[in-house]
Amino acid sequence: MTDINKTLHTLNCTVREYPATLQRLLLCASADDSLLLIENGVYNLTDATALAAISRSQLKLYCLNADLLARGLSNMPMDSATVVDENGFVELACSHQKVISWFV
Amino acid sequence: MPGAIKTVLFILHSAPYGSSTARETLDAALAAAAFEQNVQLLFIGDGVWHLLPNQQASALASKDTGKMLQALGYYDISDVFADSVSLDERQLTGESLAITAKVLDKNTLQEIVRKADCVISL
Repeated sequence: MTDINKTLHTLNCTVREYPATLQRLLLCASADDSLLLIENGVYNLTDATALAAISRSQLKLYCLNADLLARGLSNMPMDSATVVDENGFVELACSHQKVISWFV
Repeated sequence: MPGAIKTVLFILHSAPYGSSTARETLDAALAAAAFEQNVQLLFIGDGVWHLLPNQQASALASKDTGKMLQALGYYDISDVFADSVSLDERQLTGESLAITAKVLDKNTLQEIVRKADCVISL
């Protein structure tokens, strides 16, 4: 899974609280880039509007397992995102050309 | 690779004066330029308010980011970009800006992001 010309975007906040952050990310991201939800960003998996916007932008969606577990979200249906652990995070970072952090 | 020159794109997305985010982003950009990196600036969202002319930061006893923008040329920063939609939403036009900026459509903007070695959004 080498996406050497692609960018990995990481998002650490909810779109409900910070809609402009996802807006910026989606403006700058190219189709087939990847998006990893971390920290409070994993709550976006419960936000149909946010998921639809991400899907329209043709981003591959991932989320960090520890942040799901910590927030009691690990049992929710995960049809739109691939769950990764810390090693998966490192693999994603290494297999993309660069990482852009969209943090608040 | 020590000494390698990289293209570093800084994204300014916050309005001036309300927070220190944009100031700190500009400080970082000028520092990178001082270390001879190829620095680019991209103004999006409320960040485009930096480009409004006639700002009088002295009224707030605040440091004038406009003056920093005027100094970009001394740091060899010529790649200054602004998102067209963000400008439109705020009734700003490319001709009315305080400094020269290339107004980008979405596709060109995404290409700039793709081509940068490093993208920083604080």
